[in-house]
Amino acid sequence: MISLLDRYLFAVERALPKDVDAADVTAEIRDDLQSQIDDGTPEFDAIKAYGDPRVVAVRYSRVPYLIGPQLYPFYRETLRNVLVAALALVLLVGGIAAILAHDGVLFFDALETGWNVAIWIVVIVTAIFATAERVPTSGDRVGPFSRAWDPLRLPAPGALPPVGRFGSLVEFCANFLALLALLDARTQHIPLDRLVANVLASGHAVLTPAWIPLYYAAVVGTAILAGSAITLFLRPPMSAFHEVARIVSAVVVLAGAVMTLARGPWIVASQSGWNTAALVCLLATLLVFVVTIAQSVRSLARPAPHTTART
Amino acid sequence: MEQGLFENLRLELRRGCLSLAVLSQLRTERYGYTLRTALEAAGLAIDEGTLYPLLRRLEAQGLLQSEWREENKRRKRFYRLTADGEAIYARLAAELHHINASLDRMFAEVPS
Repeated sequence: MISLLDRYLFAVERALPKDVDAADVTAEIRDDLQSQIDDGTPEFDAIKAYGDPRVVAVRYSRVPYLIGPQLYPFYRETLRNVLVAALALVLLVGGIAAILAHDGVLFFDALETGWNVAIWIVVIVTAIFATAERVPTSGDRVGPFSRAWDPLRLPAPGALPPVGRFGSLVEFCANFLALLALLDARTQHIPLDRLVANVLASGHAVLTPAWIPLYYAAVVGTAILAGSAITLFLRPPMSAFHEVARIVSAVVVLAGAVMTLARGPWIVASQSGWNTAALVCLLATLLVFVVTIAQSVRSLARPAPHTTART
Repeated sequence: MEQGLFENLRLELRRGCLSLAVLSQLRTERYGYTLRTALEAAGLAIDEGTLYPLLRRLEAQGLLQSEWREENKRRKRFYRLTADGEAIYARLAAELHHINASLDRMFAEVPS
């Protein structure tokens, strides 16, 4: 008959990390438990006190984190930057291809490509940082990829978060592309009804003129953002100007969305339910832009924190 | 809340001392169970699930050496400090004395 101790050791062995010498570990645990039993502790009590086999086993892991707390902030920042850059590039290429070919479907194909690219980026960046977690570093560097930090690069207290030149260039490209796509849509080159039909595999839907106020508002709002982003690219310290431009752009789009909301129905379709979907989209748009305006106003109005004088 | 916070801080305080306590006890050769009972007798009880992984880490760092031998008709793994372990132990013990002396001075001070 298999003893309780054997069953316990088997459970620990099964849960041990692969890179651990399981026979060695379990032999040592066996000796310890057997010593306690020899000293008069009942087998059950000794095993119970030793703990859940999975918990015992996980303590033999050499690296408890996939990405530890020291590297995590750099991982998050790198992941965000690479994702933004790659997705902007994919959408830019897809958008230009769609406009040149007068086929809006190409842009939506680029969206699908973007999704796949994003998954790969997450996998690859995570793998690189997980490897970096296991590489020793020295000095004031944190992780093998990060630069030694420079105190002179610290932002001034109360300043708006800096928008780097790269970030403003990406923002300009995205808005410029959106502007081109919007202007092109006016000439019916973005076949919304075909896209909708593709999604549902049946049916036919056409937008009504109720969308015209939102359309023009989106064109104006996007143009404002593109102009602001390129200004920021040329003169990087103008963060407050960019924040004001964001508010103005959001107010314009919000006004257009309200006017469109008031002019329903919004879609003529062969199937019911489209207008409800359009209503939900419009309400969600309103909510998003109200939140955007509130955030921008709050960040502009934020008072500079008190700084502690050095003594 | 207060109890949980105390417990977390206590564990944090203890964690650093355990390695040093283990090193101190392995200046003479011992196997796991006798090491644990020695630590417990000295007032620093450590559970098995913490001790053995700690021994392995210290061995992987080159501070300990171990060998399997038979004693009382049972195979046991005996540990003792390496030369590097002796040197590191001496430096850590001196560092702890220094920290203790500083803390004692701070505890004795009357806050103004």
